Amino acid sequence: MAATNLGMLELTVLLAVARLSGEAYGLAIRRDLAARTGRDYSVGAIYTTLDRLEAKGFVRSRRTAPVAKRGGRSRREFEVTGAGARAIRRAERTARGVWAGVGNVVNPETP
Amino acid sequence: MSEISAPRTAERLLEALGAGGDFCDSVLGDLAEEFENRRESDGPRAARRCYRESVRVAPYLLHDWLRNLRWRQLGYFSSVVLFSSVCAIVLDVSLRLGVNGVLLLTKGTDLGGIPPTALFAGLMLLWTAVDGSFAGYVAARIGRKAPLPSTLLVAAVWIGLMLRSGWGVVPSWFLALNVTTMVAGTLAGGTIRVLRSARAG
Repeated sequence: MAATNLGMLELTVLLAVARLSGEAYGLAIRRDLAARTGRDYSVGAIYTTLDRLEAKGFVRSRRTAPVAKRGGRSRREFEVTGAGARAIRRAERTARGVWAGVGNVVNPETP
Repeated sequence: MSEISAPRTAERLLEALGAGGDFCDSVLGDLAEEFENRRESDGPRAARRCYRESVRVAPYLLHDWLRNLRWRQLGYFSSVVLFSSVCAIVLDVSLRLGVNGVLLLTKGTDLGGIPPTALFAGLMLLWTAVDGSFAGYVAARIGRKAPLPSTLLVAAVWIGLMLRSGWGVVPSWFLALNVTTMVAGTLAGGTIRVLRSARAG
């Protein structure tokens, strides 16, 4: 089961791929993460994570036609697979379970 | 249209890290696209940012090369290290013979008889830099599959040899300086070769 576990960055990137459906490639994912987390990840870190996710079967990639402003290089666009979607649901359930009951402690004034 | 051109030097150096085609293309494509997106609005800052990003992605490209390294490539990289080291040794011995010859003619002594002054130590470091640059240049020249990792491998082997032969024999400060000079020289030699080949086409 170890190969299907998701690290924090892996989950963050997987969620970005899900959000950017059809438009998910390194630079777009990086922008999305910067806007949501305030962290400026290197594209190297993002592609390394995407490669790991692909090896685990959570995303698949396809190459686009060459793009002029990329120096004639194509884009590698990613999408979430069925296994990836299940992993996201599992991570959400786990997170809900872990966070349950914490609200009273971190926000004591909340009625 | 802005006149600022894409930082090709950084691109060539990143390509020379030998990362896999897909990974390298994706990363370099993103850097180029980001530069194009920012060029109009940011001007020269776009190029500076691109160089900064290049430094940030370099370890990932090197890691990708290492990850895709196979046992059967061991022979290839071993021969690169061996051949470039032999070339550097030939250069070193030739220089030594030449300098000894000049010293014997002018001062009546060879290198072993020169008192260990600061100037002498400086010259020895310069010598190391020349040897290192040559080894790095040759390694990058013949290790075309991954020029900069080839250079790094040569530097690593030479660090080992220098520590083994110099430990306890020369002062530790000089050994540290010598090793640092060797590494810097080797990397400079490899970088010069990569940039020269990029310019050549």
